[in-house]
Amino acid sequence: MEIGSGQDFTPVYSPIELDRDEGKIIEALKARSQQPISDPDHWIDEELQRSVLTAKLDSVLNWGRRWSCWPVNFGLACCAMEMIAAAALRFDISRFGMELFRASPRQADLMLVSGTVTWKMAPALKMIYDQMAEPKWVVAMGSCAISGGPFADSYSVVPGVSRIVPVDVYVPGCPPRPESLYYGLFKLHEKISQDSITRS
Amino acid sequence: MAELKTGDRVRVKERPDYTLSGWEGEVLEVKEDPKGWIIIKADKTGYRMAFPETELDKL
Repeated sequence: MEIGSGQDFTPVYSPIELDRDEGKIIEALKARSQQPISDPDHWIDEELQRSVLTAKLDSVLNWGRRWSCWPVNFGLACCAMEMIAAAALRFDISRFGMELFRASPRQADLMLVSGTVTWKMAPALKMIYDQMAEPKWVVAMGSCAISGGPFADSYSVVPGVSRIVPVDVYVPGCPPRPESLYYGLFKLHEKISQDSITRS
Repeated sequence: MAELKTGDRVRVKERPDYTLSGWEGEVLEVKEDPKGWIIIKADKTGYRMAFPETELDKL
């Protein structure tokens, strides 16, 4: 076929119409576009403040350990009644995250020795302490657990549970009331908060 | 309720069947964590005890 033999090659759209169509698209895009973010760094800071907390690993771990100390059942004598009262409705030990008295030492990290420890019970106490996972703490509650109390000279009573396991807090009384036990637990909290994972 | 601070004299509020009702003591510490707890030294026994601040009256 011979070119230029009477056929019309003029474009369907004139360049002016194409410019107008493009202009409409651009104007629509401008209308939909957002305002520029003035300071991207500042925006990131605000976002971080809402969702990120910076702290030492020790403080975070100790905070968690402090408020989720699960005690192992170790009620041996009359002090156990006060320990139970501290866990019950009126005093409500659950407000300190300690309501889960575990029957298994492997799920507990606090041993509340409440009552008279006899030499016959001592191996069981030591075994249960050894079965608890680290880190673990011991509270000696009452005169008998601290020093044997009125039975200190007895052939059958351990004159202080610290002869069997290391004790972190001593709560005196015969028996100590739940308010005293709470004071002891606050002291334990202070001790836990000073702990460090790097300490050997 | 009055704001308690270290050194204040306090009395445990009356409550039915509560042995420590009316006990008096001296404020040793106002706890920040947990908030709202007061450590007192009881006159009667000399023991240190923890109370919610709502259970204590300032003398």
